[in-house]
Amino acid sequence: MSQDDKKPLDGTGAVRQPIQSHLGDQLKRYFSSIVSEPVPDRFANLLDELEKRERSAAKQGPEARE
Amino acid sequence: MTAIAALKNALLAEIPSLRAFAISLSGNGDKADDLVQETLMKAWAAHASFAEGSNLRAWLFTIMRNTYFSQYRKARREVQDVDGEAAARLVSHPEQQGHLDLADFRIALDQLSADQREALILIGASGFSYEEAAEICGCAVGTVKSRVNRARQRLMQLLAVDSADEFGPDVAPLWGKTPALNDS
Repeated sequence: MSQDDKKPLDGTGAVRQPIQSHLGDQLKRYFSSIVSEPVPDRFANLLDELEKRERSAAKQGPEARE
Repeated sequence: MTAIAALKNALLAEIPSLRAFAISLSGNGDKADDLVQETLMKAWAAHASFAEGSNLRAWLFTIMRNTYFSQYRKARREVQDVDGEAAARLVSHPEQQGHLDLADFRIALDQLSADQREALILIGASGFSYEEAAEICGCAVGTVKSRVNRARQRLMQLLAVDSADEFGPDVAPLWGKTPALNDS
């Protein structure tokens, strides 16, 4: 490996592959740590409420929907 | 299953990803969950405009980022000082070598501009292609590429990565000795 190969940026100014991979791993770990958090109840409640509203609107007159 | 139940289930399944994108964008738990809620409501109201068979997550992310950039970005600037303090704490622990926990990564990520953070998350974490990310952001593919590249460079500076050598397969110390926040 020449000295140039050890610089964090390559000739085009892009971040070198080993660093990119490492940053990418950190980023994926960060993102998936949030994805795997428990989802607050408020969202399921919200969707239940939206569904209920839509169904009662449909009962009042299907032709009124869409 | 009725169309309404199908829509509800599809949206429910996307909530974890939506929350992760919202937290990445807004950097704040309460604000992020408000952003998720607003996105769900808009998606519900507009679901007739969703093309069946296209990418639901991309559609939802588009709604979310447009909502965020039109409403939340200004509010976020007000808490930038908090980010600055967090960055100062990051710099004050140079002895913490060889280990960078997610909280520190998070602090570094928050230092990026919103544009750069968004592009990096879409490409690096959410698995979208450059073309899909460009569509979500409403910009050119080349713009996404340059934002991602600048985001990586900035993260590298913030995390004080001095040399590609540090990430060689057999090299133990992962992080440089002198964390640098020189252009912040």
